[in-house]
Amino acid sequence: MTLVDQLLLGFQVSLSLQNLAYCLTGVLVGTAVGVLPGLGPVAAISMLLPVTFLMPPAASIIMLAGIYYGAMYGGSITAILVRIPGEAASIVTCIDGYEMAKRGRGGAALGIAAFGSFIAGIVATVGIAVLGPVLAELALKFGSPERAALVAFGLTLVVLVGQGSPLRAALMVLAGLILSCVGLERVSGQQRFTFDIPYLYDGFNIAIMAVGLFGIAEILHTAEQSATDAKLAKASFRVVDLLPSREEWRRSAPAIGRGTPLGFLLGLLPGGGSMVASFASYVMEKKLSSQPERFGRGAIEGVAGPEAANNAAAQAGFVPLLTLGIPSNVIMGVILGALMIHGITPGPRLVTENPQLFWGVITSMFIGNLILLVLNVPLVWIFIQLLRIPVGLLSALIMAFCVVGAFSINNSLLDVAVMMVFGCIGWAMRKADLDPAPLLLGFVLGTLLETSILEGLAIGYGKASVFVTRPLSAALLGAAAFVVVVSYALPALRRWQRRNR
Amino acid sequence: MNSADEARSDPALIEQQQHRGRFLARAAGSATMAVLGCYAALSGYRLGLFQLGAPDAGLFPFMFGTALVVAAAVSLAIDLRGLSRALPSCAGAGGERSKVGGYFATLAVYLAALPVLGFLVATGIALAGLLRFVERYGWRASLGTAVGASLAMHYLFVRLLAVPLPKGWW
Repeated sequence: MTLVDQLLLGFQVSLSLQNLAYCLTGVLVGTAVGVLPGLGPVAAISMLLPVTFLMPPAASIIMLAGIYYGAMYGGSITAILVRIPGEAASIVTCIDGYEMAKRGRGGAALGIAAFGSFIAGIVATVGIAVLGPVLAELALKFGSPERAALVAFGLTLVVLVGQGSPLRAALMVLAGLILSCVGLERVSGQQRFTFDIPYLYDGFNIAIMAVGLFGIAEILHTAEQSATDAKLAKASFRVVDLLPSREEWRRSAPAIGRGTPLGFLLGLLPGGGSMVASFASYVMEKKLSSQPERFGRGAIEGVAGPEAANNAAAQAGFVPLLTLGIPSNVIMGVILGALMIHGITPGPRLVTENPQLFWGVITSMFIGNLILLVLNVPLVWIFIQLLRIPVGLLSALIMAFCVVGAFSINNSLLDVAVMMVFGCIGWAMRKADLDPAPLLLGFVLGTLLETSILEGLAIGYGKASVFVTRPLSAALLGAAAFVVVVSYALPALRRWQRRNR
Repeated sequence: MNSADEARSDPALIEQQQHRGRFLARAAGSATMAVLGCYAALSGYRLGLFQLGAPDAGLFPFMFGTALVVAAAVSLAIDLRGLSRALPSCAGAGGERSKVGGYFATLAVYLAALPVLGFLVATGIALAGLLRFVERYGWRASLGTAVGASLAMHYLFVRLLAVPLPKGWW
């Protein structure tokens, strides 16, 4: 099958009336989630997981993917008009987007965010379509040692590339790895950290953990905050005013052109994700600009680049998930959970064994991005009205939704209790500057790491040298070591040289 | 204005107190992680690290736990150093703690009421209580929202998605 045949197969799936409806629902819910501060895509996707149980697998992933990249666009609306990032990836957009809005160019900022996201989304989708099968083919050559090395490399990047302090991210990854050990050990069947409680024999459920850590914890955190008075910047929402001027296009086009591949590459890497991509793009644009002083005062490149980068990164995250079975960020971890609930194990065989799902999801991104552009630009003023919903009311409703969502996973009240416990833990973690995202990634990848190491040792007749004598595995471990050296040893060496001068 | 009031209204001091509070919270987080790591490493050791030259059930918890203890110790040292540099706290900048307590209490009552009262009634009561007493909305708004939201969720999950939500004792 050629790429064109595969894309045609994908469009057959994604253009069915049912999948179109799910795609539309996904991007609209995603935009709403992006607009509403406090409710991020992780919490929304986790809460909606139970809703997807009765849906066909392709439809459920199409909808969840739509929520993710829809949220990227929605986040920019409030970032530009109210200076409140709807989700983390839009923090950078606040800087110049809000300044543009204050000067009466809010419409153009919204427009360029939408067009930038659309262009990046389409390019990223083409990238996934081309790169996905190639990576899947390469991954078929992976044995257990390579898989173990890949997970180790991924976790190293989660610690070093992610937001916040690497040391605290390492704490969270390690805590997640320990949590992944809860339950019956796969080889010997011995109980680990189960305290003889039958509920813990199968370990924790990722969806329950995610709803608690991101949904309930966010509600508790929001309840603690005093109300902030957000001022809506003046902006015209007429379609004609949302179109950037020729000069603004001239300035934005190169930024979108650079932000898209940068975001795509960072989205492929574990720990990269949309937030890192948007920050990296902003820094790059500022460094490359002949007038860096314009940044922070309403430079449109400061909106175009990061918005393109975060959307490209959001979509690129599907490549390692669907082709290698490795989630690159916490949202992909939750989507991995959704796939497993449907009995689908993502990985290199997915492309050949379940092409309808793989290509259906990819082509739905073309459609989703088009829907976002066509519907959301004229409807931006409707989404702004969502900000009028009082936060308290929203929190109460989200709480009830989290409880129902957690219950409906296994029809168990014990799940609800566990979700509440994780909610309290997540709230306490926020206070202690501990990010729950690396914890969840450590948890998701922990099982894969342990199984791959055990299988790798079996292949190597008990010798750990198997991980460094196989070229691919050695290269991945070398890459992990290289990243550590570049991140820590080189700056330390430079500091030492400066001190001795 | 006495000195305590002055301290409460001084933005620089409030910021330093928050700074101190932040370091305290960070240190508590690191210490908790160290305890978790210790427990995992010890449990792993008790489960057994190797059997007949192959990894046993306790090896991975032991490795992850030991690494967590080391990382948490470094993190705790950094947090404590920051804490010693911050000013001692006098007036608390507590935020809306009572609201968080209200949410905790509502969640606990909601969980206990679900099997007894069933989803529809328990959700209605939990939402009404939360909106009225924690979020301080008027009775009419609280009851109206609670009834509307419970019915909408019941329709979505029970009718459309056929999720068998708890029906209660009746």
